[in-house]
Amino acid sequence: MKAILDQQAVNAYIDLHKKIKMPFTFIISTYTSRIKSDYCDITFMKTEQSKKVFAAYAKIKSDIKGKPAPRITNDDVIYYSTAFRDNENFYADIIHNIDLKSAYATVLLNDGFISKETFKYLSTLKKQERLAAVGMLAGKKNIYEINADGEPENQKEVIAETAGFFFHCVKKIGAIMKESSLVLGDAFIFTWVDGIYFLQEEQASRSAAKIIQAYLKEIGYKTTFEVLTEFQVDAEKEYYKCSYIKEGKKKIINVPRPDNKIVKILTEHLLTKKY
Amino acid sequence: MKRKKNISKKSAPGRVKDSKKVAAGKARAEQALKDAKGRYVSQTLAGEIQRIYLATKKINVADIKPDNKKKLTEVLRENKITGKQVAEFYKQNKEIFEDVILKGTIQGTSTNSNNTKKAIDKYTGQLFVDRGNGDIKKVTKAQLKLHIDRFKQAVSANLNAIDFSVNPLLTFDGKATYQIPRASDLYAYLKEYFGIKNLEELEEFTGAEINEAVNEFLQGLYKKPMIVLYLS
Repeated sequence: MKAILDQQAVNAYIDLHKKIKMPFTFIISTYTSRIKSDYCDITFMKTEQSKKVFAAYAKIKSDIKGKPAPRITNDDVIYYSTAFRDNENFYADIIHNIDLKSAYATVLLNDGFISKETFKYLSTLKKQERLAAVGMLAGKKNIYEINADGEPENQKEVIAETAGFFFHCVKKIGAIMKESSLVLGDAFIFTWVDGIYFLQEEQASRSAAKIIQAYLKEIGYKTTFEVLTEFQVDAEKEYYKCSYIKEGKKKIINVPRPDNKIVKILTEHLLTKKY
Repeated sequence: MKRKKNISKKSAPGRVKDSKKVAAGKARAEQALKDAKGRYVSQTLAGEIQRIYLATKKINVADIKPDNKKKLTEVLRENKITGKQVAEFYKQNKEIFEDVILKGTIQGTSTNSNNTKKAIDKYTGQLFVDRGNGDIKKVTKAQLKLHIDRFKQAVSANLNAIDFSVNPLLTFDGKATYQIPRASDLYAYLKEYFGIKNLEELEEFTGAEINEAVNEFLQGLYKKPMIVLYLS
């Protein structure tokens, strides 16, 4: 049985099992929740995932079939980098931004994992849909065995065998962003997933933007260039809040702050020591 | 009974101080580890600080207990680390250690949901979940991980959050508390904040507006929010 993913509905099923003292298996992934017991087998799914997303994922999966997955995990990837100074807020009237178009799909194409046809199909999807389709490669199921009292007794994780393909994309884009930040030198501000943000320094920045765009074009990536205004960085305790105006709309990105070395050591020490 | 006069110890006039003793006294003072109230820290804590300092120098101290003064002194000597260096390190990071000394707690560094679950798996102390407004409960590893997975699903599927990170509140005697709000509380707040009936209507609002609303929700729930959502 299938239903729309709604937390209240999921909770109602959980409560029902608790009341009738029936153990069940609870399987959670990003877009689905499944409750499986002697009483029912129901999957709650998010409705907005269009059929196109699943079709795109099926095409990618078919293309990579038989190809060995790169041995890269979530621990090997970097999603961001910054040149922010510790505890310092920052403001600039105007900054520049270059985004990679269809970044992960392009990695899959350039590295020979998917065909041109699949890439074209992916390009017809909205950005979020495209990310969802490629992200399904790293799909993860968290499986909980819930006892008759409604308490989880054990948990296991099942990660898709194709996860290495997805993390390969993330790692590669991270490396490309790093390379681009080095070209910018002092004008570099930060990178966030597949976008790089940098200072506008009259003609110099425009030249830098051209150099980066030329470099990205040379290695097979299409880009977009944007002028952003009212760029503000607020150093919050745990993250940098970066806000700016793009095409008249305010955007916010929360970028994690680097850990305090001592607190990190203390944290690791306290989390791993035997009590 | 006659009270004894409170006579402070003073050097006799004209007495020449032993320069070696003075230097030794100064050296001891420089090595002293004292808390904000000027009290000497306990030997175990001093050992803990030494261990942390050694760890920052990439020296493996995992097998040395903080109360094993003899072994720690030996390792410090082997690595030519002086007590003064450790004291200096302590002074520079006193603010961090104050939490540990005075409150017995430290706000740990943040990790994403995946690494938080890994850390929970390895943890041997007691786990607590903080649902906000003082609702803190002791939980099992599986319960805490289930809370994390359900909250992650809720924010990923409905708010397009890439992930969230959380800093645990840790104690030296083995307690770790994680702030994981109830997804239902977040949903109710967002519905009221934006005046919407279902979360699909959130598409009409910008990421910045949703971000502000989420931050206000977390501020209202916790005095010091130690959970950050990374919205795309």
